Amino acid sequence: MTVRIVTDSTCDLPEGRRQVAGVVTVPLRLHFGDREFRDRVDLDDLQFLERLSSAKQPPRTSQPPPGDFEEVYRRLLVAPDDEVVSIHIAAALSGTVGSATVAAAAVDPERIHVVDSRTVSLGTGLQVLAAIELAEQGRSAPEIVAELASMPQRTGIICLLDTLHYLQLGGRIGKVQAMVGSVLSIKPIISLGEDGAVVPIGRVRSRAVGIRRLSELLVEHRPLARCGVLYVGDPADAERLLQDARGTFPGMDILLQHASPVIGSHCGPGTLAYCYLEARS
Amino acid sequence: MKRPVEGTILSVGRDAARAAQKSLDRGGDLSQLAEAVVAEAWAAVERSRDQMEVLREAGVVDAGGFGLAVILTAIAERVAGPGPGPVALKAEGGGGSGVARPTVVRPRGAAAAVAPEGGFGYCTEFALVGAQMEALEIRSRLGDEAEDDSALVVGEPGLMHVHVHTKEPWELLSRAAQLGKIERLKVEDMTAQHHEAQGRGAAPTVAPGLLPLAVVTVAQGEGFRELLLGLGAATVVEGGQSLNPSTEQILQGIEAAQATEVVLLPNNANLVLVAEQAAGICAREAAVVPSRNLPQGIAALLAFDPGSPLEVNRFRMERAMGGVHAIEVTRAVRDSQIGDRQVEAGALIGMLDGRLVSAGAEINQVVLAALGELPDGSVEVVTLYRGADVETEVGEELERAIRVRFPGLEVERHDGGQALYQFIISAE
Repeated sequence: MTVRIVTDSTCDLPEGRRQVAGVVTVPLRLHFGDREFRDRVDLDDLQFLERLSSAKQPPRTSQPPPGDFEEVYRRLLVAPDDEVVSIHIAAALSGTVGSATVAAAAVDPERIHVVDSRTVSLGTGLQVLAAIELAEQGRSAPEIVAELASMPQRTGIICLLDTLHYLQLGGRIGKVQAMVGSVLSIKPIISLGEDGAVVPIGRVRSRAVGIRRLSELLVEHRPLARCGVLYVGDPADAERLLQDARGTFPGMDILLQHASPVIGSHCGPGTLAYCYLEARS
Repeated sequence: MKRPVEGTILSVGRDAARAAQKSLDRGGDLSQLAEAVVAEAWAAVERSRDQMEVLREAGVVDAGGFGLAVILTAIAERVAGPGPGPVALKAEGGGGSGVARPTVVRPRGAAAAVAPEGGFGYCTEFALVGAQMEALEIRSRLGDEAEDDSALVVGEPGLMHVHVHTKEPWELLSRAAQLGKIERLKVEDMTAQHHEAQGRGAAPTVAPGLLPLAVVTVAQGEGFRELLLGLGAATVVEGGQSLNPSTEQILQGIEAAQATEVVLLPNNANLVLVAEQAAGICAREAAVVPSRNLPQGIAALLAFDPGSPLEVNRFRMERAMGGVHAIEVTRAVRDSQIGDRQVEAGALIGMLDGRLVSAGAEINQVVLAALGELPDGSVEVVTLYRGADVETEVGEELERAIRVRFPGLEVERHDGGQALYQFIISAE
């Protein structure tokens, strides 16, 4: 009996970890004008950012077609008691869960469990990581799904943006604009809610102060079970966030990952973020 | 401590104590003693100006001594005044050569609206004769209430005046009787006093606010006013040239915010005490985040989150304040010194976080020197707030000069519209 894990390209668990555990990642589609690309297959993160910087309109993303999921599920269900746990970006943000569910129903609804992670990026990634560990311990798919259920409400992503431009481009500036609304140049700190809502949680005048503020905000969520650093573009400052977190949480395995286009397109290059999973109370 | 340095909090305290002794010797009662103590404390504060080198140079009185005199004034008012409730002091503008001595503000209506459970207790006063021990020893022997901050035990071994608020005066008195002879005993029922005061003027009812939490701040200059409102301050109290509104004005600003809870940003080091007083006597729940200048105030305001509790905001705002440096450019009002350099009245000076660090004939020079005092790499963004009487071109020139000297810095310019300060600058 093997439990196999499936996820999608928005999942920001570092690729190495996914590969080692045999996780299969199904790519979303990115649309720049008429051109369509499979996320992180036809277009890597850097190439995506290059296109983003010259894009006059924001890129669209769409879910993988059910056919992609069907092909993967059939391939993975080898032995009669094999199971699949398929963990994906919040249904509120993408039709990916819907697509996977259609495929699961067509292939084998009893043995394929589609999970709405109710979060994004590394938030989804942390659930994938948990599933990997539980599968290695020999837990069954229903048990794994039950464990994952408590994670969304303990998960948070806090981002320092370098500019408001991409939020504006993507039409998500709303509340942030009100908070910032000033003649002063301000870098916002936002959190990403499970329904994809962008919630302003801070404002700073300089990147250095912003980096410090991110660390201060992270500490407010202690005790943590897990933590990771996300960045868009240049990794230099991400290293600092990593060191800060290592200092605050010695011994914790802190992940570092370039953020997928779902974050990159809304927040833009220069974005730095912590993703955290609070410990169970 | 045995030989206090002249012109410090210790010498002011010593002089005040001597005055207390003299009053006792003359047979004065507690309110006469209090008066004598306060008068002598303020005289000693005034004298401090000439007693210490560094104070003389700067032409100011000792801050610690000043603070002690303020506290003694408040205690005297409390002890000899009408009854329970907080004491409010109002800072007068410092004009002329005398030190700006706070006056007592009688709170309208009863600031303490409701007596605590079990009542206020009894105000118990007496002279303790013949106990050959220091005040501290007597306090500890008389029990917890005598060790409370509001209790007074003053005098010298052999003759101590004791003034304590206690729910069980008989206990206090039986302990005192073990130590010495009790004379001139006075015991007053404070709960009855309170009810009487209440009857005379009902406490104003506090309507719940329209907002749960708001920021009330002080500023001068139209530009600063707009900026602060744009960043989310509910009301901006006009501070006047010296950024020194009265307690009354601050209270009005608090009411105008129409919020249940308020955070006060005074934006002036000299205003912090007044802001604390206002916070103490206003009917709303108010906390002061002690911003000492406008850059600190702006940094604190940026950290404000109306959705978080008051205490969380206070913590975050104070922390944010610590991350910014302020440079204020103005003209020296008196001759002073930086190190061994003389600075003449009328020269342009640069204050970095309240400390005089540069002086000169030109704004650029003064600002660059002040910026130079900050550790390399510690500053990323410099924001220049132009004063009302300064030409735009001067600001443009200053920006250029800063970019040339410090190529890595981001420089922003805004109109502050302030009087007195050619530029107020934040560096963060």
